[in-house]
Amino acid sequence: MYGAWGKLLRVDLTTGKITTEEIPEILFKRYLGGNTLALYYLLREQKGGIDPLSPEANLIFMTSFVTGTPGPGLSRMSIVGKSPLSGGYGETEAGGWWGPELKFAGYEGIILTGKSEKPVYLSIKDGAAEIKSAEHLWGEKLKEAHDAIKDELEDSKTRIALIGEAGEKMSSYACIINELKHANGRLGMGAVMGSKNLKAIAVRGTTQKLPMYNEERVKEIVKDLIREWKEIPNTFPKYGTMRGVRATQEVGVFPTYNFQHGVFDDFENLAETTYMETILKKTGTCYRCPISCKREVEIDDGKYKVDPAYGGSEYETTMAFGSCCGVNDLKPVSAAHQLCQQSGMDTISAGVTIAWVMECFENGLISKDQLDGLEMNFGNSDNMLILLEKMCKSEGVGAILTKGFKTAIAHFGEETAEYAIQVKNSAFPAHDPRGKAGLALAYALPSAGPDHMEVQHDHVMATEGGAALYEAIGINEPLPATDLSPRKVRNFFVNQSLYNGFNAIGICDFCVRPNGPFTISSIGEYMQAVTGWESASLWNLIKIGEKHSTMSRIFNLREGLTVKDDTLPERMFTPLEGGGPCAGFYIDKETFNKAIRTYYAINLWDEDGVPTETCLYQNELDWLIGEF
Amino acid sequence: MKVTVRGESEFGLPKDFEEVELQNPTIESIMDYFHVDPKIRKHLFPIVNSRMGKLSQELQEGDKVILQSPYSGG
Ligand code: SF4
Repeated sequence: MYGAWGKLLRVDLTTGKITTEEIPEILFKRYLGGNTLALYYLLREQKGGIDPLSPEANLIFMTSFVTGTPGPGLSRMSIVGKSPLSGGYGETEAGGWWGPELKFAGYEGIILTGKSEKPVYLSIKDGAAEIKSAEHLWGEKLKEAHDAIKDELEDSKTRIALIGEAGEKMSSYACIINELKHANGRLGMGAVMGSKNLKAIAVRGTTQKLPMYNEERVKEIVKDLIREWKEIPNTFPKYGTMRGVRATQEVGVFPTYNFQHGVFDDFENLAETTYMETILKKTGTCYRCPISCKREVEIDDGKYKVDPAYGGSEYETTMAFGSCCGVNDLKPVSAAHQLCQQSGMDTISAGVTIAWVMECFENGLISKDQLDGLEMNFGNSDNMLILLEKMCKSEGVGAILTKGFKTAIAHFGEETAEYAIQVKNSAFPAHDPRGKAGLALAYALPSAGPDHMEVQHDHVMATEGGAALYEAIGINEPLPATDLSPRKVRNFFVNQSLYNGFNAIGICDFCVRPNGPFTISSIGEYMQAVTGWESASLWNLIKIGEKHSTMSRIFNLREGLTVKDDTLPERMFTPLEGGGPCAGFYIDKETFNKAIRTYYAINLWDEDGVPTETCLYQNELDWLIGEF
Repeated sequence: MKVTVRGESEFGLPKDFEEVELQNPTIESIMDYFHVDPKIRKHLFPIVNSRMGKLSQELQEGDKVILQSPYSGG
């Protein structure tokens, strides 16, 4: 087999037993890798209804046959399990260096089960794995633990994915962070890792080379792609994701004051130019990526001290702790980002939760006394940081807020629910769907909750050039950003399948046009050059993406989630306040409900969103008949 | 007819609003005026007077135009 070793590491943390098993080539052909191969194992091996924080829960790390090969952006790995936040499917991706290093160490994936009696970490080097004590690291901030493991292993090239205090204390949105900067965020996979008393996984492979079917062709494809990409003007490498502040503000979908408004008066203070002039130290990158969209920030002005080792806040985080909380200064936003990184907590979830507290506080629904004496008006950045620190440590009211909206609403009162901007208990990312209707589907439908990386966004697809990038998958015309017609739903379905496919092979979305070198057609060609499979193609990528939607749907059905969970907060059905191009826009409920049903039908799911037998046969998922 | 225009300087557009005088201005003629690279033109999204616009849009005296490459992702 080419591109992959076909090896899976199994670690039972209860018994300490470590085994290696083969991943048959047919499984790569059927599920590619990443999110979909991991989900295959999860559905096969984990019963429905288990507590995600119990020893019975599995936590699966997975890469693919292209991870670590020379193409740009092939660094992403998926972590999959049952989410303690949503109670359903948990999936999260991160780039960086850890995924390729796992490949170099001789494995495509790891399945963790059980629970260690005491804190441990897992060290994998050149095919050999070992469990080591982490008692001395438990409670340490991320950087201290990370550096200590590197010292202990006496190899500075070791790549480490680890949890912080948030994961140890099983915050429902704790993440797993590699190299201090690249977060597998959102759905609480860090809590699952913490529940197993597993602090970190350190990987190192000295091989640094993977067998490829046609290495010359691979190199040629990469060279051509990068040359062609450099000929097209592109501002993404220069500004990274921070370009999003100005761009979303200009189209009026920059979430402000807990998604009440779509423009922020002080946005210039948060924008890419201010960022570059005031706090940016340098740019950073992931394995073999020519874009270098990552940012490293340094601040040392007495009140705020930010260490570039933790990277820097990017667009989503800047929305979460900036405009969403009414904070107009990049310094407290950066300090909030660092607090989250140090303790391993998801920034979007934490920031949007605080924005919810602020709106409830201003409306008299949550009092100062209920917030450990903190006044939580919008814009109060000092108290935002104090509250965030409590959340990171699970102290006082922070312990309630880190269990997710459902727990917090039960604590503070049902009347606070209307201000919670969430679906499946997971907070909205940084784009208001009232001005990007396709994102209404990307927030309501995915089994892993609202996701801004689920599809290409509406404004790109509303341009002739943007839509043309997707011609190879049958998208033949631009559609208006606010359109939610059956045609838009169909385009959403195809695009989502493609993006699911991206997560199956572990390619960074930004490394595909319009931002990056890969065209969507070249991805199929590249996969074929790596593997030599006739089946490796763009069509294959899309089909596996479709399969993933159905598999994750089945996971959720098994866990008791239903059609009722495919919805949006009531605010999205009311006019967007404030100024900007989308002021007054709202999502029409009837159109939205029709769109959801259309999406089910396109997937061959029934009216209640349950996959039909035809769907299972069509997707080669007949082994799941009778399983949900 | 006078219109003001702003956009990404990397594409040749003025970073801050700049007034330009054109006969029967359209989004297309603005791009001609600023010599916007043909490779990027079809990717730009117009915002006219704080409303989402269209590339084919004809403009009126005093219109404020932003031409941006739309942002997607996180
Ligand atoms: S575009 Fe950014 S996130 Fe994606 S691989 Fe490159 S540096 Fe990493």
